[in-house]
Formats: sequence, structure tokens, C-alpha cells
Amino acid sequence: MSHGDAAKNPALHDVASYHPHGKSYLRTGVILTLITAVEIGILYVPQVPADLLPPIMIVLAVVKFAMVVGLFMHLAEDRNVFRIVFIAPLFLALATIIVLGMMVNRHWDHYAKTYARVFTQKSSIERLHPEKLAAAAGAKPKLKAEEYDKLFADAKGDFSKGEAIFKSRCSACHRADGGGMPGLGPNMTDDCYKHGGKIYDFVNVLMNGVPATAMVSMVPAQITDQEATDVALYVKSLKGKNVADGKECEGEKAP
Amino acid sequence: MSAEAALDHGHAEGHDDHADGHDDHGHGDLVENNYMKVPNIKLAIWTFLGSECMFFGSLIATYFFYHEKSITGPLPQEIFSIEITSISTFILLMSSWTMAMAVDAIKQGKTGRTVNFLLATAVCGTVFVSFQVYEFWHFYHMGLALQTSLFGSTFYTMTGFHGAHVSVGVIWLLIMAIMVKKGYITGEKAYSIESGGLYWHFVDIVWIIIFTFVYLLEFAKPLSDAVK
Amino acid sequence: MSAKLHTIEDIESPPPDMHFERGLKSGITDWLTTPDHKKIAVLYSLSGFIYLLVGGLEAILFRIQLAVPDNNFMGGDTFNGMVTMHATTMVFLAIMPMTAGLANMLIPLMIGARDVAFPRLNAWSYWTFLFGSLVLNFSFLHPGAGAPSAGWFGYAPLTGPEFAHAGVDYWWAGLALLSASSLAASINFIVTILNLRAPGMTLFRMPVMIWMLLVIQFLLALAFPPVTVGLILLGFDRMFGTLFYQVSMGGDPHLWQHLFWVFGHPEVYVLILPAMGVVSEILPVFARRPLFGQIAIIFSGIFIGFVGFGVWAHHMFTSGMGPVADAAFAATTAIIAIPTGVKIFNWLGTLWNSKLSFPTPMLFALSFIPMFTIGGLSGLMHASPPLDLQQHDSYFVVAHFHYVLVGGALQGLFAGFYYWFPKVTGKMLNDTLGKIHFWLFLIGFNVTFFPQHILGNNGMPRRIYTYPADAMWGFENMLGTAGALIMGSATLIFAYNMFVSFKKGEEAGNDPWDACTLEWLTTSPPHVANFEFTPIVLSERPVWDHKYTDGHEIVAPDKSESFHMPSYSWKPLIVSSCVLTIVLGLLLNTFIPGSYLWGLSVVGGVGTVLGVYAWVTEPV
Repeated sequence: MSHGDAAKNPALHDVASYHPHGKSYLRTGVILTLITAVEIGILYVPQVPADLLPPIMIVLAVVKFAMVVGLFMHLAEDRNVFRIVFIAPLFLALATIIVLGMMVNRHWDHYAKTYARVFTQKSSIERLHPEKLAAAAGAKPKLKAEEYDKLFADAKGDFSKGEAIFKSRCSACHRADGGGMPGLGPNMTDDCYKHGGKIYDFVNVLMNGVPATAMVSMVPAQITDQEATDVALYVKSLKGKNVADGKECEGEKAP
Repeated sequence: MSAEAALDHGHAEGHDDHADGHDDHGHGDLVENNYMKVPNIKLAIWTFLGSECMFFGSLIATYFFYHEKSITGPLPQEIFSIEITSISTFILLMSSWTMAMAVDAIKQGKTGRTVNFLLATAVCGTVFVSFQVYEFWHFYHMGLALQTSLFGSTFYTMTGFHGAHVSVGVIWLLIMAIMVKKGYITGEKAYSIESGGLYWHFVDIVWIIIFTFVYLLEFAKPLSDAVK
Repeated sequence: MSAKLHTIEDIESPPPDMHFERGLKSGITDWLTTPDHKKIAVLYSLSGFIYLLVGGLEAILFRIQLAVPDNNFMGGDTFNGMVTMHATTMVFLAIMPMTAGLANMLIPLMIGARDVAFPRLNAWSYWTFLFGSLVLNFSFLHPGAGAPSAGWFGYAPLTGPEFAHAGVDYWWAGLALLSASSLAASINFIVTILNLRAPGMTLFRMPVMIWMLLVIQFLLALAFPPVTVGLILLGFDRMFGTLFYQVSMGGDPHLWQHLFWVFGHPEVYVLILPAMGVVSEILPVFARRPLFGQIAIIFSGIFIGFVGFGVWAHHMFTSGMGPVADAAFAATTAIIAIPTGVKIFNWLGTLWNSKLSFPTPMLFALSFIPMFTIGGLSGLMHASPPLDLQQHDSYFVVAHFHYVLVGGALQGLFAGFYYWFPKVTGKMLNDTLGKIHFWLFLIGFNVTFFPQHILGNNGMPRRIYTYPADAMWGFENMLGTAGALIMGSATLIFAYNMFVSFKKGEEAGNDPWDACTLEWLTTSPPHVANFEFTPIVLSERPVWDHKYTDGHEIVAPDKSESFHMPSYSWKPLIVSSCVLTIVLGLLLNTFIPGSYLWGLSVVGGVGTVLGVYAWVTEPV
């Protein structure tokens, strides 16, 4: 095939008039390697503040991405049609990831709280009736300790209501079987308790939370008084079960 | 466009030297006068890569959806080895360079050089997959299986599909190398190799995303997260 | 200028071996190895129509169950299976393939090309679709399980390993094959439309039908991957015990819903936009005037395509996403009603003060407008989260989507079939039978689905297999069943019409409707290479201008122009079978654990690689 064919058919490549790109590809390759080295090395530099690391990493990754797409894949100097059919879906994929992430992940919450207050998901009580929350603060459990114990005996082993609430509300930090999560909630199935082992104590924790921990006050923001009682009864029933793979003892051993 | 100019345009490009029906092998483009003056296969691959952005985007979104929500099992920081993964990342990056050189070679009509660089790219890809296999085996023996936790499920699936794409790419590279060697593809058809190159570079940039966001950022946590 | 002018009358019937109709009566080998987009179009359309009847039968069966309160015609699981298969069949195996049939037939013809960009890939897409549809329907035969019964949207964890029987394995595997088929087809059509247009056909000289088809190819290419991922994750949960949808280990059911509906919403635009394209082609021809606001209609289609990716969570208003997400998606959903309204008003503008005639295609196209509008209005009501809280999972939603999908998409497809049948077969469809089909269908459809708005507002939930007499839902349900039977009869009349007209219908000629676009330039049925001469396009109504305006040559004069037609090949069928084998290996291994039947998948994989190698090196 001759030069004339390529002139007639621009889809064919014209070998004769092509300038080799070898040097610029090598340069690109070296730069990519250097950027990668920086990305990895920066993790070992303790002076860099941790909050700054994600933006730096993201920027470096975007630069590498752009270099490969622009230079190795030639998008920087190629036809518009290729740019459209690739870049539009790329942004669509990014937008989808970001929207999904915003709806779910805790870290997104962290960034959202830090950089934009718009997306926090408060419960409706927190938004609409903060005065109820304030009024409830510092309240004590409504029944006496012995009355809770009597409820426990009267239940005759049926703690299904409390179990359902525990599994849906508490399992994220205490695990579905109550065995506890490393770095989060303690084991509720052993004999050790950090804030008292009576049902009264459980209700107290549910109403007031434990300051400076992730155990926030659940009543009335998340559950009602009755639900708190049900859960507390269920938790009492877990004592001594010692599920497999549970966290070790934290707090004081209760008889 | 005037009718006359349109006629001349149609006339010049309508004639086809395959009037006798016989054709050379591997002739991919049936229509010589493509409206947008780009090879069909190249446009097809770019469109396919757009679709793959959504595919890998969904897999990565799933990983982040479940990030730090595992109930049990080894944590990422406990088992990731940045040192080893850096090596495999570097190798994949270099394979992008060898791929670019292969395309450069075919565009100069140097088929021998093209085959060499294609094979080099395939070797780099195979080494990368081997590192992945080793990594999976290593994590498995540290207690992380597909079924252990959300981290296990999402991590293995996401990186596994990436590895599968690399493997398909290696097969693609080998097929291209054979076709160049046998003369099915010459300098004029450089766009075939270029199109394969696009797929290979894409697989590399997906790894750039995964390496940064899944591995590196695991060690770059902000301190003030009360939920930690 | 030595150009010889050719008029439409000059294009005689080509010699027998170039005649497409011979193809329609040719042997089975021809059909199994064809690269010809027209034959592939016939395969898609026939398959789609057969599945339309299958899906309709499934509907009639469960409508019998629902006709009276406390019925025991079928039990709960069978009912769920019927409903699931009805919906899956109608969406994936009927409307989409019939659309693919129109796309395959019309795209090369309307843009003046000789075939699609990748003819063998086109054939591969068809076979993969067929195999996927067979896998899906094979579920009926699975011992002890039967059809998937978890709804066409397959919410996890209901479809997970603890709750769903083997039917769901066929479901996710069949859909995975269908998604591969669609992806390949969409890339094929995008390249065809962008790269193979005739000289002079700029993007804005393309017919609206092609524009709508172009938009949906992008929707398919970009929307299928998320659901493919969702299906793979589900398959992994079922096959390998992964935890993606396992709530007890922290999995979140929202994940499935998001992945599914990110696909599911663009999918409904894929279903409706081609029908809107058909209406945009038919109305001008039978109103004898150009489409009013053609550019606005095109841009509305593009806008719907884009924004269609931003509304998916309106299917999840009741799933507890929180007020911010609800509000955002309510806003985008309301916005997307606007371009649809633009189209409707432009169609009305085309009809205003025009000389209308009413052959059957025009009847269906006209009736699209009010039926789709009713569906669109109920859809707009769903866009409001508080209203949706009431309507979600009630028959009000069923009424909504049947008005848009049956009153809209299906009527549009019927219109297209009546309009282009003469071009494909050379025979006119009988217009009297057509009108009977139209009126019977329209009546049956409204009798079934209008009362369901009332049922929904009266509280009847979806997906219940029976209901008590004192719920007072019996009357509307009985109407629903009666209407379904009427619709079924109408469709059978249509099938009969197609059969009889193909055999001995009235000869159509090249241009029976006196229309404007390039497909009417060639013979009916078309020349095997579509056009004897490469047409040159100077406006968006090339054939009209050629007939009624002076001196516009639209054909290249050189009769010796030779062109290269794609050769017949077994590779698409072979590679498609190998891909099917991969999927079968996974399925069999799930059904018979520990049997090493995943080896079948390995065999299939090797076969695929070898087959692809043979494919790319075979002379075309």
C-alpha cells in the first residue's frame, strides 16, 4: 500500500510521515515513576499532617491519571469525538461514586461536617424538637432497680422485642450477637461491665450515654423509653453467654 | 457542501480495490470512507472504555460503601503491605510505557520492534498478576477470605476483577503479537495496536485509582474521627 | 459535471442474488451465519414478538388468579414466579429486542450505510441475547424451584442464598448474558451512527429516530455496568458466600437498590425513547408536514438521556435514605418532566392545522400521545416523596408504568412495525385487520389499567397473590382480567396479520407512504447491500427533497462503484456458545456443589479465546 492510500483514506495510518515519540514517552514514564515514589514516600514522613494526606494523594493520582490518558492514550492531541465518549462517562462514574458515598459512608460524614454542614443526617427529634432533648438530658431511669429486676423475672425468658431492637440499632457497635467490636462497643455477653451490671444501669446508659465515647444518648433521640427498657432486659439476658470470639473483659466483673 | 463537491468526494472514496472480492487478512474496516475519519475499532474501544468507567466505578463505589463497616476480620491496615504493592504498581506503570513504545514502533512500520515491546508488556502484565495472586494467597493465610467480612468480599472482588481484566489484556497482547509477527497487521493498520493499547492503559489507570484510594489512603487517616 | 441523475423510479428490483427477500426464505445455515443487519433485525424482532406473547400469557395467567377474591387458581410462589417472569420477559426479552430489531433494520438504512460497523459482533449480540433468554426461561424446568419469584428488580437479600431458590440463579445468569449482548450492540451502533453516515449527513440532518437510537445506545453502554456489578455481587453471594447483601455481617440492602436503579431508571428511557422516535417519524408523514421543532425534540432527547442518570433514587423514596437525598432526587425527577413536555407540544404542533390521514401506523402514533401523557402525569405524582409514600408499592404505580410502557412504548413499537413492515417484506400489512388490532388493543388496555389507578388509591398493594372479598377490590380486578384477555386477542390478530400479509399482502413498492427519509430510497425489501449507489445527503429530508424539489441529485452516479459486503461466518455463533458455556459451568457448579463442573467454565473460556482469535484473523 502506498502513501496515496493513506491520503485517500485518513483512517489508515501514514507510516512515512510519522515522527517517533520515543523520547517523550520515556520522559512521561520517568515522571510517572517519580510521582509514584513521592506518593509512597510521603506516608513515611511524619511531619505531614494526616488531614492533608488525602487531598495530596488525590491530586497526585489525578495527575498520573491525566498523564496516562493524555499522553500515553493521546487524548491530549486526538479527536474531540474520543474525548466526548470517554470523559463524559468518566465524570458520570465519578458523580455516581460520590453521590453513593455521600449517602452512606461515615468518613464522608466527617468531611461533610468539616467542609460543608449541609449533608448531616440528624434524627427528626434533633432537628424539630431540640428542647425535648435538652429536657431529657440528665434524667434518671423511671423505675427503681428492683422494679426492673421484677420485669426481668416476669418476662419468663421472652426478650424478643429487646432482641429485635438490639439487632437493628446496637449491632453495628456491639455486634449482632453482642460480642463487641474492636475499637467500638464492649462485649455484652460476658460478666464484665464498665458502667454497672444492673438493668437500671443499662437504662441509665441508654438515656444519658457515656461521655467522651461513641455511646451517645439513645433516648429520646433514637428509641423510646419503653424500647430502652426492652433492650435493657435483653442485654441482661445476655450475661454469661460468652459468645465465641467476643472481646475480652472490660470493666469490673459482676457476680 | 455543494452537490458537485459531494459527488467528487463520493466518487474518489467509493472506489474500492477489492472488486475481485478477495481480501487481505484481518481487514477490520469495511467502509473506507468513515464519516468522522477515524478507524471504527478505535472509536469502539474508547466507547467501551467509557462503559468500563461505570463498571469499575460501581465496584469501587461498593468498596467505599462498605469501607470500615466490617464486623470482623483483619483490618486493611493490618494486612496491606505497601512495600510489595508498590513494586507491582511500578511494574504495571512500566508496562504502560512498553505499550506506548509498541504503538510507536508499529507506527514507524517496525514490526519486529513492535512484537518485542508487545511481549515485554505481556510479561509485565503477567508479573503484576503473579504479585496479585501472591498477595491474595498471603491475605488468605492471614485470615482474610472472601466470606470473612465485608472488607474481604469487596476487596477481593474489586481487585480480582481488575486482575481478570489484566489477564484478558495479556491474552489480547499475545494475540496482537502473533498477528503482527504473521503479517496480519502492518504499519497502515497501526490503529489496531493503538486500540489494544488504549485498553491496556485503561487497566493501568484503574489500578492508579485503586492503589491510591484503597491502599495508600488506608494509611492516611485523618486523626479527629471520633468514631475510630 | 458528468453526473447521471438517478430517480427513485430508476432503481429497479436488483437481480435475484442481491435481493433481500431471497434471504428471508433462505436456508438455516444462512440465518445462523449471517452478518447482514437486516436478517439480524428480523431475528431480533421475531424473537421479541414471540416473547411478547409469552410475557402476555404469563400476565393472563396471573390475572386469572387475581380476577376474583380469595382465588386458588395458583399458589403464592407460582404467582410470584409469573409476575417476575412477566416483567422480566416484557422488559428484557420483548421490548428491548423489538427495539433492537428496529435499530438493526433502520440505522444503516436511514443513515445511508451498507451495514453496521461490526457485522459479526452484531450477530454475536443476537445469539448471546437468545442464549440469555433461554437460560432465563429454563428456570421453569428446574426441579423443586421453578421460575425466579423475587420480582424483576430482584431486591437483595430476598434474592440472596438464604431466601431464594435456584430460579434466581437462572435470573442473574441470564441477565448477565443479556447485559453483555446489549453492551456489544450499543458500541456497535454508536460507531455505526457516528462513522458510517452517508456523505453530507451531518448530525443534525439525521432523522429523529436515529437520534433517539443514538441516545439510548449511550444509556445502555453506561447504565448496564452498575447492574452487571450488582448481579455479579449477588451471584457471588449465592455461589461463594460473599457478604455483599448479608445484613447480619453488616451488608446493606440499599447497595442492591442503588446499583439496580442506577441502571433501572435509564433503562426505562431506553424503552421509551425509540418509541418517541417512531412517533416523530410517523406523524410528519401522515400530517403531510415537517416535524415541528425538530431541533427541540432532538435536544430534549439528549437532555432526558443525561438527566436520566440523576433521578434513580426516586424508586427508593420509601427506603429510608433521609430527607436530603429525597429532596434532591425529587427535584431532578420533576425537572426531567420538562423535556418530555417539550416533545409532546412539538408533536401537537406538527398535527395542528395539518392534513391528517389515518392508516394504522398513524393511529398507534396518535394514541401514543394521550396514553403516554396519562402515564407521565401519574409519574409526576410519584416524583413527590410525600405522595409517593402513599403510592409506592400500590397498584397506582402499576397503572403508571403500564400506561407509559404499554400505552407508550408498546404502541410506539406497533406503530413502527406497521410503518416499516412494507419496507422489510415488500408487502403492506392489511389495514382493516390493523384497525381492529388498534381499537381492540386500546380498549383492552384502558379497561385493564385505568381502574388500577383507583385500586391503588383504595389501598391495594402490589405483589399480592390474592385479596379478601371485603377489601372491595374485586370489580376493578375483574376488569383487569377482562382487559388482559382483550389485549391478548388483539395481539393475536396482529400476529395473524403479519403472517397472512407476508404471504399474500398487497405489493408495497419502494415508497408506499410517500415519506422523507433515506430508507424509502431503496427497494422493498432492500437490496442486500441496502443501496445500489451511495446516497449523498443535502438536507434532513433527502428523499422528500429529491422527489419534490428541483435538481437534487442524491445518488452517486458511478454505477461501477463496487463495495465489499461482509462475509458469512460461524464465529459469532461459536464464540457466543462458548460464553454461554462459561455461564452454564457456573450455574451447574452452584446446583451441584463439589462436582468440579466449574471446569465447564474453563473449557468455555478457552473456547472463547480460541474463537476470538479465529474471528479476528478470518478474512472478512
